[in-house]
Amino acid sequence: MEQPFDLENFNRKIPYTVPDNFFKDMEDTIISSVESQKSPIKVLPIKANRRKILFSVAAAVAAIALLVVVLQTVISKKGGTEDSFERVELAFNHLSAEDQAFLLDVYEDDAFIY
Amino acid sequence: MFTSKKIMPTDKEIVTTMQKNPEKGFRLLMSSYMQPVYWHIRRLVVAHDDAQDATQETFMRVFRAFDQYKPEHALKPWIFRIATHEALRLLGHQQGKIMLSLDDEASAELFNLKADEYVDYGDKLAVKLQQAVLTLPVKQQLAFNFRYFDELSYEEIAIITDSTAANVKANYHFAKEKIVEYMKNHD
Repeated sequence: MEQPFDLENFNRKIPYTVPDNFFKDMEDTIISSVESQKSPIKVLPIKANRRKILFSVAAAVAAIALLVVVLQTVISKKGGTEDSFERVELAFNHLSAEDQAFLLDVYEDDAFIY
Repeated sequence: MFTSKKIMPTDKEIVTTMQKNPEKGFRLLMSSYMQPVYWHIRRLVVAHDDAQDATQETFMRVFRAFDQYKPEHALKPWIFRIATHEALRLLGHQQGKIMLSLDDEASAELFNLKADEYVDYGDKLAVKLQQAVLTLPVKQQLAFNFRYFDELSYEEIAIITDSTAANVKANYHFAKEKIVEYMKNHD
């Protein structure tokens, strides 16, 4: 007499099969698809954006610092010129009237004196 | 069925690695879930090619949607929920619908079982058991497959199927009764 089917003690085997190396091949296919999508997880673009933002901020700060240094140099050079004129003027005032007259006579038509 | 002897990473390890290094974490996730997900889908859609498509789509969705996963919830139900959705979507398309409802009967899959080349028809009892499962409404199939083959808890199945543990338990017992009846009355 045929035994009734015992579900609880059945080996839970299923009759389905797969081709050889199927799971390995499918894993490779999925990984390739994921890589070709250029990191679809949002965590990565956010990190990439942060890096971009940080780089931009750093570049802007560096540019501003460079500008400040250049302006300071220009201003100090300008200040130095004014200072040297004052000293020349002071030295000129200390000269005798004859010497002053001589210098004025020699350089009054010099286009490069100022 | 899942007799691999390699040590599987825990769900916590998978989630932590996914957060630090998504691609490495995703490989770990696949090493743990690839086969269980494939067999779960295969039992629902029957045909190997369909199961392959739905499994691939499942893992692509898992990868894309991982930022929506809440680590305080279990990973397994979250993945199986996506897998079930993909399988039902595929079955729905085959029946001219957007998606198969949990209350739908599954009938096209019996044809698939007869037609698919990757079925060991020599194991008559196993084939007959699958035919019996495929006569059940979808929610009873899910309750039976998850409990009987994957040994998931009623609570885990309830999360996957958007139900309650009590409903899942009832569906599992209805399913068992119908299957035993089918096995008795069919050659």
